[in-house]
Amino acid sequence: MNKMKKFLGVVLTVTMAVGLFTGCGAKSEENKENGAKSDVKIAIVCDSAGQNDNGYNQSAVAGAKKVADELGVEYKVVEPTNGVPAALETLSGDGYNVIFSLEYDFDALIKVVGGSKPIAEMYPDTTFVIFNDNPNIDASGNVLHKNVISVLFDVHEASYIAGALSVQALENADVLFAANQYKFTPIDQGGRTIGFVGGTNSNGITVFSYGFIEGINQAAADLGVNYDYYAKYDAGFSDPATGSTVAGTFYNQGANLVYAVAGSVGDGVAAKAKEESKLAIHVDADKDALQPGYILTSVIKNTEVPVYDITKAVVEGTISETENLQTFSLASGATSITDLTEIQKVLADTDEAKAKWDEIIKYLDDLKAKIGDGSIKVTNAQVGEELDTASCTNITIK
Amino acid sequence: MSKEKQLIKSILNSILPILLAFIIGGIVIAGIGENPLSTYWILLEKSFLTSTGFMNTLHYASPLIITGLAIAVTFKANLYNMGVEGQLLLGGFFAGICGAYIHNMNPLLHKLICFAVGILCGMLFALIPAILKAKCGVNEMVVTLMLNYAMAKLLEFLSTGVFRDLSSGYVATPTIAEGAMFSRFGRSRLTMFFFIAIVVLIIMYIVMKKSKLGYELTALGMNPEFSEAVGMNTGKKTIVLMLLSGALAGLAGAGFMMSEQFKYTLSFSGTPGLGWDGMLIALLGGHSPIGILIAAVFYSALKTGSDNINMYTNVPKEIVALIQGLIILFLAVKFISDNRDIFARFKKVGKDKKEAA
Repeated sequence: MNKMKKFLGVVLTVTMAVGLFTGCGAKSEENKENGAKSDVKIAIVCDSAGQNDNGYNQSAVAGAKKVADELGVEYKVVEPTNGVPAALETLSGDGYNVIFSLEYDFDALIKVVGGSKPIAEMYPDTTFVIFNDNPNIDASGNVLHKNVISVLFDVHEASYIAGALSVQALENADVLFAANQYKFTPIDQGGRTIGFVGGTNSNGITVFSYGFIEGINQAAADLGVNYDYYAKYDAGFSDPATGSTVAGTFYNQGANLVYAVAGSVGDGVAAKAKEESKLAIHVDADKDALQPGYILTSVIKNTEVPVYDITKAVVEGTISETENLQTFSLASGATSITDLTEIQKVLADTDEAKAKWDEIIKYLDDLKAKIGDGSIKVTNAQVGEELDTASCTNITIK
Repeated sequence: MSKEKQLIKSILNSILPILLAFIIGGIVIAGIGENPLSTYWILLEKSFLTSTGFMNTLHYASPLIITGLAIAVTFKANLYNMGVEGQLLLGGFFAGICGAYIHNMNPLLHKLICFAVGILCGMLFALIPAILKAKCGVNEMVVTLMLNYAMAKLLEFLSTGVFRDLSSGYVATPTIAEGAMFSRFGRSRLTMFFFIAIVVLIIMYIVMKKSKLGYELTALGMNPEFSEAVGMNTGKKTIVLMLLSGALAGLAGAGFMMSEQFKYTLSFSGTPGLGWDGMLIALLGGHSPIGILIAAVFYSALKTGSDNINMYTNVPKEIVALIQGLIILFLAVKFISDNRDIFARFKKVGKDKKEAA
């Protein structure tokens, strides 16, 4: 018993000592260099991927940082452990003016759950911004809560361009790339195959796949060839090993390119592409340099733009005039494919390759323009549109 | 050892790991350049000292109390039901399905049906390993552990297919009807489910401490061969205990569905999941109902607190995960064993070395 007391004494002494040493840690202050001051406070509520995901969350945080530097607003990044609704309530209660919620979890915000009022109604002075869906309308299409803004990205259009580029790159591989650069399955022996790996079977993911399919179909039709398409929609978002396994299966079946829309799972897909000396397409941010030369392009969904724009509107007091549904199109720059600099580095050093590449770029610009003026209509699963497989004559979905 | 000493010992065995974990956590926080005391103060204040915060802590403790009991009731009998997580998911899922697909029903009856379905699902899932263990001697730890993953995949299949809420942008089952939801008290998240959890706790206290079954499970835990020899039907008892554990897990899942989630999503139980948390709580609480209650409230405060730490300081929320991990590590050390305290153990080791040399 005595020994125990002695031991406890030691423990308590250590506790106190730690307390003494650390009782004077200063709180770091946000430094506002340019002196811009604003009493607006914004918060970013991350999704399960967390704030360092090199993409969707990270660019939102980058937007917040930019706003903090320029306009002197205070920002807070939150990674919720007890669910998004709890975080939204706490932040609203603490007087945050704008809360960006990156997770797919809107019920408590919009609807009545568990007998309590919707969060948006409880905190009418807070502006809530949600992404990738527009649940803020009733059956007849009227806005439910004035203080909720839905942000949609036209990622189906960017995916369409990526699909068209994929076909062009694969069909012209022998011209574009040096002979020993890749180990493609010969194009006429099952090599006209493209794979897709999605995180979860939801509109937020199929929107990428449908646009991609239509883009492949368009380019394949223009070149008079037929493509096979393999897709897996339940790979999750966090395990690169899963991505590596699934992509390996696709590559073994003859696929020469796999498009991953699954967060970190895509890192595994890209690693596999390098291993197999084939191609991959990544998503959310410009990740082309992750496996240089093996990532054809990335489909960018840049959350930085809306975070910056909306916060700016709040600071300037024009937020009440903004639309409750904001769509960021291909033209806005918030969604697009990358500038292709990484893949251009591995093009063969011949005039023929350069000419072909310029031709492809021109072809893509042409498609972009057609999407812009509405002469090409890409299926948008985000707003509930279904893919019409009958119209996809040059692609077989396995 | 006298009873009093025994009690002090078991309390110390639970408190010391927590203290040590917090001290090491504090050192890490100081290393980041933040003040550990003010960080811990926020944790304490937001979880216990504001009325809403305290009620929220109790709310999140509700399913943990029940999963803790579900684990304790088997672990105490030297059975290892590692499938509480899967049983909870299955119970929660089908309670949610009943909640969503039955309309215009008396609210009380509706809730009862959901609970009954949840409990049944948990029991069904627990029955498989129980029968395998009792009749064929298959190690129940392996079976229950592996079935968790099968269950998670099965429910993912069901929620992306048959029971998919098509109006939702992500994978989710339809939201349950108003009548199946527990309403909150005021601004906090606390619902009637907490009081149900307390009633379950009291019942389990009586079962574990005062009933024949409680005596049998203690005996089974101490010495299964002896129990068998003096005429206990251990196979039958195994099945009964596993079913009881499964029922509790299913109940926790159903309650969590009706008081917090309202729909099944792929992250229904969170990470690491309420079932796994229950294991830690049962260990912390020394497999006794009262201990489990205290441990569940404490652990829930940590969980709520981690959100608050994240919001009110610059300390990353991973600190809380670190503290949780350290608690588990130190729990495994068992500072004061039945016969010798930790110093005596080291001294003994020293002596052995000398003799060897």
